[in-house]
Amino acid sequence: MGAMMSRFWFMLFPAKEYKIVVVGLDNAGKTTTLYKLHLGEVVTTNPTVGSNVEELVYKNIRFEVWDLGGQERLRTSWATYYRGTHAVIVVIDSSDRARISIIKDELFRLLGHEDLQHSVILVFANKQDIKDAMTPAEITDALSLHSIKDHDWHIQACCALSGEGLYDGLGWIAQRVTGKAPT
Amino acid sequence: MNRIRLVWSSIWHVLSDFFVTIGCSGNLSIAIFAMDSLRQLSMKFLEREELANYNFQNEFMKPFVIVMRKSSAVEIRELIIRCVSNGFIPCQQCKIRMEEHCSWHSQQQHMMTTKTLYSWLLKLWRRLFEITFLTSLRLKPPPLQIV
Repeated sequence: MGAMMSRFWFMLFPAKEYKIVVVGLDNAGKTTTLYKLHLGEVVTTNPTVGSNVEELVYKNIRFEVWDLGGQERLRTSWATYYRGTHAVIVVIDSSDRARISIIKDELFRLLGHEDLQHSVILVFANKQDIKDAMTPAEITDALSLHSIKDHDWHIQACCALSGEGLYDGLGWIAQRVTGKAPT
Repeated sequence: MNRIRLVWSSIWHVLSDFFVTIGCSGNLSIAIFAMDSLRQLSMKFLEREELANYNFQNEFMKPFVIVMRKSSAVEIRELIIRCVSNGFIPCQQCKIRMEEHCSWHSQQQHMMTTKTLYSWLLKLWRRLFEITFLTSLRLKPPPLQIV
């Protein structure tokens, strides 16, 4: 009976599925972020080759989340995964000041891609637990986020190890993608 | 993922041919995407436990070997090596499962599990060795060391 009701419910109110890609430099914490959201625990990770895909359900919305490898030689294949993407999560290591300009270049390169013209951009300022981590305001300036005119964007401070901020960011994405007309 | 192995085995017969065809495609981006998807599928199935006498998981990794033999693109072969060395070992779930077994199972069950695990690792390593061996035939630099 419960199963039948559940099936009936989803027939009436199907959970729409949205695609998210997670990008960022190597060692930013993309895979840790994905599995903290998916499993609720911190997993030991290895450098991602290719991608990891998991499905999250948040407030009856299903997200298909693709976590892409961030090593320099793997970034050229990011474009392969952009088709049909509703949201892009850029994970940044807030303590990595030396490479903030590299992620800025990568960010503006992906903003120019044709498959992402209707996507929203969420920036996770990760590793906020580290002393001397950049604040979201500093990162906003360093990435020139205010110069982004044709995409909705948001920056969220977070710590993937503790889970702080992750669901706030996911909530923002849920609000933005469901508020839009389906592509 | 809840289907029984027999059903998955039938499905895999069709899918593995498909993955091999796409993996050998001339379009590099498509081939890379296909091999990545194949790796993730394989990881999902390797996480499931399997009895010692079955060889289903062995079948799952055959497409890697076939693409390794057929593909003319160095990038594809390198990607397969990297997926094998990074993506499969260590498998997170296997770590968790081993720990659980050590914590909760009785000694006899633990021994049986160890035997099953040994058989599984043996099959896995045989396949990995095959991939690495093919690599050494094709590439001039020495292959990546799998530790």
